[in-house]
Formats: sequence, structure tokens, C-alpha cells
Amino acid sequence: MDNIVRASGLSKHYGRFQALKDLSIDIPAGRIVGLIGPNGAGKTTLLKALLGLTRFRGELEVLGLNPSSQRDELMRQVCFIADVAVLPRWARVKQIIDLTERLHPGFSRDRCMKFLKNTRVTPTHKIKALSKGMVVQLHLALVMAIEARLLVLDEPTLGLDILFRKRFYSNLLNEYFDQQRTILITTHQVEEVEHILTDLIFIRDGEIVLNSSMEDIHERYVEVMVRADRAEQLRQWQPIHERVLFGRHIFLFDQPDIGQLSALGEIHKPSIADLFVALMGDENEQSASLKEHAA
Amino acid sequence: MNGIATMTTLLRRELWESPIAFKWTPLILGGLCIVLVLMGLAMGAQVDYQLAFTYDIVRQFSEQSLAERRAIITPALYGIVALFNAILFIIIVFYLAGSLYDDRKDRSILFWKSLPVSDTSTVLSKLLTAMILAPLLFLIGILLTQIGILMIASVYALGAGINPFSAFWQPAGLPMMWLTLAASYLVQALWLAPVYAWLLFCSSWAPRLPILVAIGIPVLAGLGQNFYTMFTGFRFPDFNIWVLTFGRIGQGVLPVSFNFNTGGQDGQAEFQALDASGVPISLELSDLWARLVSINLWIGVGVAVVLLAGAIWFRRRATDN
Repeated sequence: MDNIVRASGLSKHYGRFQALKDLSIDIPAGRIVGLIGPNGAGKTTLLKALLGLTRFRGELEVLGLNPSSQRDELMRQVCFIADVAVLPRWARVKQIIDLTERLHPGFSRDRCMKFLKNTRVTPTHKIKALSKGMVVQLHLALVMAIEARLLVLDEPTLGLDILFRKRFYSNLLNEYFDQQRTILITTHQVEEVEHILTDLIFIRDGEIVLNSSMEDIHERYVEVMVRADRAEQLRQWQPIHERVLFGRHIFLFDQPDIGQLSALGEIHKPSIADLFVALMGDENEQSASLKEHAA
Repeated sequence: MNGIATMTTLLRRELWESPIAFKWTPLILGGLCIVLVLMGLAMGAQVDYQLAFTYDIVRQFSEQSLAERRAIITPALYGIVALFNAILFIIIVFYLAGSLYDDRKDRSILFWKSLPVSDTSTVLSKLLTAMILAPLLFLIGILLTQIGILMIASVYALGAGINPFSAFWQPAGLPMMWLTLAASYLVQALWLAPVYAWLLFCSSWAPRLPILVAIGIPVLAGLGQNFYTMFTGFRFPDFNIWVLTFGRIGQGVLPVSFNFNTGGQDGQAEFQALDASGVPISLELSDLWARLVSINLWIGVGVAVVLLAGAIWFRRRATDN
């Protein structure tokens, strides 16, 4: 499939702070990509660059268009939700729906109303009067009702209750996603998106730390849980991370010999959260804890 | 065709965002005019409780020639225009100063930029709101108010046993006045285009308080120029920032445009011509035409185009912070 996003040598400075450092990335079509990173890692800056909302240096193409000069054309095929409730507070719900319908050729009012049916948002509500969660629900309904080739969600479920979050992700997967579409999600609640992602990108300090499909990740990274007396032996094999849970030691390995490991302990797939901590966790803390264990 | 539909929607959006400024203000102003007239009449009725005196005035009025009646009615009707126009200008100034700033402040720019609408269309929609949509709504307010006042006058005419049509409606010549007003609003919009574009330009980049930025820059620049002239004696012959700015704002074609003394420039001459026509405050299509083809107006339009390009340039780079 074609690449939806092609970026190479992407850089962005805010004064002296370098938000993106010569970042290169390709995102193919038909994927659900999780963009995960700590606060200030450059996630939002990267998304803004993709959406034509910020200037940058380097080359960037989204759906074959240059986001900074062709934003309006790009927005016919791209939808996004920023990480905050940004619907205009003066508007009524029906006005926002009307405006989107008139201004966006790919918008379907029926679909939007269908998504809103499960919420307490009504057309006569003023945005001002909605709770933060309801504004997000409305915005998600608007965006899901647009036929887009790329959907960008920056912390989409912030402030929503568990029920709605579950329903949102299941809608996203079952009703919205198909092979023609690509979804790019950033979130801190990685457990929630873990099962729907096809690809995972870790970003830290403006650089890509990991960019891989979930299958590859599951092939490459293995966790093994062993009793304390075997921990020393495993440390010799250069685990990338170690943690202790109920007296058991859990080691994370990059491309280990599965046969050897399974003889020593229980093997399973690492969760994204564990992988995140292993690859992105505070380096000082990690080396300190390794030393502590060694002592 | 698609562009027109988009622009219509964007204009509707502006109306939805500021209903008080654009819809309610003209209605309230009109209501205020009518109430004032009614209060005046009620006070008259206190003194003249059988209205004999009042009816007498009405009768005397109706016996005057058409030209004389016109000379009384026209300024009265234009007085309403002056009131509306002064308020309209203030509203437009505040509207434009906030128009490209408020959504940056409350971050809703992120929503607007998620729609397939170019930044050029967005900026133009704000300008068209100031140049056409808002004047149109105020014009409707003026029409309704004028009709209302003439209807009150008609009741008195009927009371006095006079044909209200020939006494009031005919000399008022409303259709012609409305046509002239509509045309004058368009000329006025072109005349003020550089002011509007300046406000949009400031609104597009000002980090905060765009209205103060927009007013402060010309005030300070003029202050600098005048001090410089004072200390060095150097003077541009026909270029004084303050005179230029106030002249531009004050010498529009609509009533309430105040006569700012610019030392014998075109503006004053035109105003004297208006005064000499025998009707103190009125508008003639020929004056509008003269203004429309004046070089001064088109220099302003040229400046406006440059400032608009600047506003669009900044808008393309604008995000939520």
C-alpha cells in the first residue's frame, strides 16, 4: 500500500527547545498507529506538522500533499481531534453540525446523529453548557461521521468515562476503520488502545525510539518471569529491563533465545506499558535500579 | 459555485457567533428611536391634551411645498442613519479586532482549521461581514425604523384630517433614499477598507489585546512623527499619520462622518459641496459616484489588499498558542 505519511528530516524548534530532531517516518495506509511518548516528547508537534498547523523544516507529505501550503485541500481527507476540547463555545450543537455539513464534503449528518444518540448531547445544547466529556463526545461524533483517509486523534478520550471510552474504541474499530483508512492515535492510556493498534511508534525528545508493527514487536520482545534465585543468571544475558513483582523477577529481552528462556521461567508478551517503561523509562532511575539489584 | 456556498456558510457562521452585535443591536437601536419619538409625543400630549396644537403643526407642515417638506423630513430620517452608522462603526471595529484573535485564544482555531476551508476564505469572510453583511443588517434596521416613524406620523396626519401619503411619505421618498443608502454603504465600505484590513491584520498576529495593538500603533507612530517634526522641523508635505487616519475614518460618505479639518484637502471640499446642495444632511448618488472614482478611495483599497495579504499570511501560521 501507499504511504499515507512520508516525513524525512523533520525538525522543529521552539526558541532553543528542539521539539523534533531530524525525524523521519513513513506511515502506510490501512493501519492503526499508536504514537506514544512521555510529556514533551514532540507528539503534538509532530501531529501539528502533519496537519499543517505548524511550520517545520524538512520534507513532509501527507496523502501526497504539503500540509503547510495545502492544509485546506488536505482537510478534505484528514480529520483530527486536538488534545483539548476546541469546539467553539458560543455555538449550539446543531449549528456546529450544520457548519460541518456545509463545509465538509465528506460529512454525513445521519452518521453523526447515530453516534450522538448514545450520548446526552442534544441539538439545542450550547457548547458552553456541555460538560467537558460531552464536548469530546460531540467532537468524536463529528469526526467519525466524516469520510476521511487519515484520522488523527490526539488524546481523544481525555475526560471520558470508562463506558464511553470502551464504546468509542469499539466503534472506531468496527464501524469506522477499514483497509482504506489510517488512524493515528496518541494517548497516555496505552492499555486502552493496546488491542486495536497495528503499529506502534515510540517518540522521545523529538526522536523516534521505536517504529514497528505489533506483530514484529511481539516477535522481537519477550518477557520472562523467574524466581529470585534465577535472576542473577538472567542478568548476564543483557535484559533491557528488569522489575520485581510479588517476589518474582520479570526481565524484558530484545530478540532472545526463546528456548533457553522458557526453560527458566514463564514467558509472555510484554504489554505496551511495560515496553514503554523499558525503552523510554527514566534512564537514571533504570540504571540505579539495576545497580541496586546487582549490589 | 462551491466557493460561494462556502462563503455563505462562513458568513452565517459570523452571524451565529455575534448575534447581539449584528442582529439585536439594529433592532434595539430602532426600538430606541421609536420609543424616543413616542415619548416626545407623549410629553407633547401632556401639554396639548386635545392635540389641537399638535394637529395644527401637522396641518401647517402639510401646507408647505414639497421641497420644504423634504428639507425637514430628510434630515430627520438621516438622523436615524447617523445614529445607526456611528454604532455600526464601533461594532465593526471591535468585531474585526477580535475576529482572528478570539479563536486563537480559546483554541477553537484548531476546530476551524480541521475543516477544508482555506485561510484566505476565512479572512475574507470576516472582511465581507464588516463590509456587506453588517451594513446590510443595519440598513434593514434603518428601513424598519424609518417606516415605523413615518407610520406614527401618519396616525397624526389622519388625526389632523390630512392625507399622510402626500404629507409625509411622498417627501420622504423612501425607495430612493434606501437605494442611495445601500449604494453609500458599499462606497463607505470601500472607503474604510484600509481601516478594516488594518484591524484584521492586527487581529491575525497580535499576541494579546488586538484592539489596543490596532489603535496603539497608529497613535504611537503619529506621536513619533509629530515629535520628530517638532524637534527637527522636517515635515512631509502631505503625510501626517494622524490626519491621514482620522481623515479616513471621519470622511466617509455616510452621515455622521465628521468633518475633520485637514487643511484644504479633498474631503473638506466635498463636504462643502454637500452642504451647498440646500439639504443640510443628505446623500446624492452623484456624490457617491465622485467618491467612488476618486483616487483617494482606490489608494485606500490598494493599502487594504496589502494588509489583507499580511493578515492571511499570519493566519496560515496561526495555531492555538
